[in-house]
Amino acid sequence: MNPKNKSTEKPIDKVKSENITHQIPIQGSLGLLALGAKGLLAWRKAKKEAGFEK
Amino acid sequence: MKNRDKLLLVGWDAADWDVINPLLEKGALPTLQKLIKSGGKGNLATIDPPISPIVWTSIATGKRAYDHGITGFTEKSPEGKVRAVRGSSRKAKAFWNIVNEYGIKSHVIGWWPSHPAEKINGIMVSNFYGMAPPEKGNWDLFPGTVSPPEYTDELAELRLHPDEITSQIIAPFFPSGQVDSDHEDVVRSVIRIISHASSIHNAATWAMEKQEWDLTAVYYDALDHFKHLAMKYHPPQQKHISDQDFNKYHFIVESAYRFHDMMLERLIDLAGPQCTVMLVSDHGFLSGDQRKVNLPNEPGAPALEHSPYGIVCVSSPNHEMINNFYGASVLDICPTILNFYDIPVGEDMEGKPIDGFTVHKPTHVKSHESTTAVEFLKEDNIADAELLKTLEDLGYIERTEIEKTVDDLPENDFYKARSYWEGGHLESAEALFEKIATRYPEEGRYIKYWISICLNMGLFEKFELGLSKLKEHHNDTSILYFEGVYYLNQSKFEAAKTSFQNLLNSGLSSSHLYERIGQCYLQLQAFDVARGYFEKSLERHPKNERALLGMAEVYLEKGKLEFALEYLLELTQIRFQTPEAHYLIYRATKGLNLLNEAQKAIELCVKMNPHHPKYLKALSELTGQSIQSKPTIVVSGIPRSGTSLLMQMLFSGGVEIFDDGHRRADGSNERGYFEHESIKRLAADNSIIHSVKDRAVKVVFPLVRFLPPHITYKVLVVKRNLSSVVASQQKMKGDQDLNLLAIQKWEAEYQKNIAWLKRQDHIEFLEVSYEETLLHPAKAVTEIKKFLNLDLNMKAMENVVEPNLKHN
Repeated sequence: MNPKNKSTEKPIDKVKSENITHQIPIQGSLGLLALGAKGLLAWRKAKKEAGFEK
Repeated sequence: MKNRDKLLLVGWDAADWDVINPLLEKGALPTLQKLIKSGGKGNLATIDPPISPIVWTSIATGKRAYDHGITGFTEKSPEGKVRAVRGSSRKAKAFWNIVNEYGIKSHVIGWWPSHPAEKINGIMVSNFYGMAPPEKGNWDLFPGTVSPPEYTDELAELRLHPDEITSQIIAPFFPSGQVDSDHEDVVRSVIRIISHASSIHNAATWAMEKQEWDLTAVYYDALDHFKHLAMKYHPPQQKHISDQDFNKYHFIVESAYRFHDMMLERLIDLAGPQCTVMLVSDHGFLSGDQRKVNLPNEPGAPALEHSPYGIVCVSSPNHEMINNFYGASVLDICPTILNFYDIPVGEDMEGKPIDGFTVHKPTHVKSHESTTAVEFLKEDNIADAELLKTLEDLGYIERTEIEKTVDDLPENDFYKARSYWEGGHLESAEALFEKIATRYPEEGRYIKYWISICLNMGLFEKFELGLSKLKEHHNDTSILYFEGVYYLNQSKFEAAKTSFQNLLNSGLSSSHLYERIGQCYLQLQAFDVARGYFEKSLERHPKNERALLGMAEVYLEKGKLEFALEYLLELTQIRFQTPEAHYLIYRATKGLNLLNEAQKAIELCVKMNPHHPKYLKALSELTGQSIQSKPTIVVSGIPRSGTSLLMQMLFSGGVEIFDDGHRRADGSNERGYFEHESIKRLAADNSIIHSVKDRAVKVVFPLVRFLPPHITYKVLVVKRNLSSVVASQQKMKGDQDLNLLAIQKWEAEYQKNIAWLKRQDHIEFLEVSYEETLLHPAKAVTEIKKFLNLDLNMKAMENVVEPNLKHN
């Protein structure tokens, strides 16, 4: 396996802080975690609204 | 405060350029790339031991372990149990305490160690914040984690438990997709590390928005954990790693860096465009061929995977800086932060503002320790088993160490002794090494460090005692190594070479070993053979600095100056602050008639080491200017050989004497001793020599080798019949019988020191016969005057000498 090729196969998703509410993957993402507190709270809210969490 | 410079300090444990540079080249770290492009960067030298809680406290305080008081991963609780080390054990002020005293508001998140949190002007979240129990259940914050405490509930909600991490989140770490989070330890570890890093990041981003700040400092330990977990799978694939494991895990470290780069972007966004950003790490991590296949089964063994250079990177919109920092150390970070806010640096700090990022003209204050005391929050008796478990899982501590009630913590003593050694407190270091090596002879590393420092200090009897202990308890190949080092120390290069080659024949091979053999051949002037060994050393470790220097010396000796220059330039890329490399550059460029380059090189040498006679002489020869440092006058000899008489002569001749007058004249020395009490501690602290200046100082012979080497000396060695010396010593002690063994011992000591003096570039010496001086004082005075090249009152010196003055 060529690791260099692999690195471009699945780029880490990024969610910009300014459009946080529009791009919240219910499964979460590393990019969402990188946004810090606001990303975490937005993710939890989205999960709750989608009925994944109480 | 408005319009004050803002500073964001981000700590990435174990980050290094060896891994980062290839990632930058492929565009994987865009935030760091931008930071580098707009600022300066360089290596950040770690300190010994490279143990994270120790080094991060040094970064915070500008002091070493023996001064700041954090000496390991654990400590003794008031109940006598082993517990995770606490920030409250810190004995020195951290930069956040000092800047607070100057009205600067700071947030400090996750620093290791920082529990319990401190009452500061800003928000502080301790390093216990992100510790997660295996089951989320009742996940309360430890008391004392958050300051001010009213933010505790809000911050508790911002922690991310490993249970919340989804397969989507960890997917970038495992691009092959073939992972099982229920059954694979590696996957479970990745989840735990991400959860902890996220918790810290959440607290940091929350604090930055919650309250205005001037300084925010955030520490992430995740890269260190990711590297201990998965550096063995990082490309290039190592022979002992199966294809299956490599395919599954090779992307973990890269993904970890990418994740950190994204978190850094968020921090910088929140900090705003006017904020200065400083990114630092405490040490690097072995990569490529340097990675260790096996680690010894001992506490702290993972630290053997650390490499000596971390990173520093600064970007500032308001301050100019150079693109490449050279010679920066973790001890420089606290002084750099203080200087950034125009706060004086403590004279009790070893470091200085980083060359290339010194914002204000450096000012100094004696110490910051004497002002307001640091206030910590209260912590109840808490079971910090989770943190200890994490440290145990990482191999830093042992379960048995955690569970027992202890009288002492030998591992902490070991780290403290190493800190003393690197800080130049040799006597304290040796005493501590001896203590633990004697009490715990089964711990081979304690004995090895002890005998190494004994060799360094010239304590050969103790060295032999330690070596016999090592043979008794650990009869392994290290015996041959230490014998080789002993012979090298004695300039017995043939014998040293034999020991090292026997070690090689036993099957052990390392870059270091090949370099040692190369040194032996270099000293034996077998240059081609030496080159072969240095090449083998560099094949195994292309950045072995001593091997690079050895190659350059070989090529200089063979007249291939361009080749020598290639190796030297490579070496200065790795470590610019290597005066000897610049000296060899001077020799090579001078040989090539590149006189401008030669002058620049030798001027750099003198700048780095302004008192070294070899460098001064070279500069003087090249420029034609007389550049001489005034040598310090030292009077030495075996005790009771007549050194006080010589001091009296110098005093009468007009030389000022460095003494404290504490030791009064008595029956044994009727005119006084001319001694300074602190000179007796030369082995432990030789900084006193800087106070001697133009005066003459008495140093007993066994301590001469501890004179700091960056000063030039003229040493007058008094030589007296040793039977008379020993008789005089015994008379002083009240003994009557002549001790023949003592005579032999002093004879060996005398010869050993004379041999040592002959090898020193920075010392000139003259042997002055005591008996001849009594018989022919005028002749002795003439020789002394000529040697010292001083205008002396010769008659007064002669008048001091009275035959009946001699000790009996």
